Amino acid sequence: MQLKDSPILNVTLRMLFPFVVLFSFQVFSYGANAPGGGFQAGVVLGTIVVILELLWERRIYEDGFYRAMEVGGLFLLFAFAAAGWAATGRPLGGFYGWQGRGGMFSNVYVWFLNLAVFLKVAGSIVLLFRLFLGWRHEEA
Amino acid sequence: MKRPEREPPPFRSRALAAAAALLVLAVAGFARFGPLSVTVRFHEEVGEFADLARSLNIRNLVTAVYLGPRVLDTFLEALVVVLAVSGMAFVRERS
Repeated sequence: MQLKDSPILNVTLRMLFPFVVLFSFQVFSYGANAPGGGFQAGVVLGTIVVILELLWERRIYEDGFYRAMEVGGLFLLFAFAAAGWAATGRPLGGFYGWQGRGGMFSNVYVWFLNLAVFLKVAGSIVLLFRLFLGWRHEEA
Repeated sequence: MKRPEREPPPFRSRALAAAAALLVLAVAGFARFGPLSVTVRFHEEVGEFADLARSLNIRNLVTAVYLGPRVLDTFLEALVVVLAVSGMAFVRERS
């Protein structure tokens, strides 16, 4: 029996997937006030996608989706860097006063930075995995 | 009937066993002869980080540092990951 035929793994991971996605959103959203942040959340999301792709031996969404995530995160970072540079002379500076209320948006700028890092890391991890896997398949 | 020849392991098993034994001895030695407690030292700069987090209206000191004064490092770190993906894609296209 192959790994992808295992009903235990299939059912467990299929049921776990939405909760892991939700957890990754929580980790980056509350990264300013709880343990976590954009990097960790991106790794959580990327890892569950990689595990499922290894199990099912097929892609969950095309490369374009993850490339869009990566580019979106990068665009946000570059936009804040440019805006901060124009406003204060320091890249990524000048928006820390954009503060709100509650655990999620106590600092809106930090939330956006965490979002950008999350998108970029999650997209990059899946793309890197696919590149490595494609390479190994070609060698075999 | 001839038995199939076993492939040699990709590592030196004796060297690995010796290294593992050494590691176990070192851990046991540290547990027996090492310091009984860890010296706790108060770092004055923690107060500065707490003030920084308070000024940002956040509670996670790690986030306060890596998205505060070290945000440029975080930005460059993010670029490193992008560079890794681009590099892999480039090498794969060429190979």
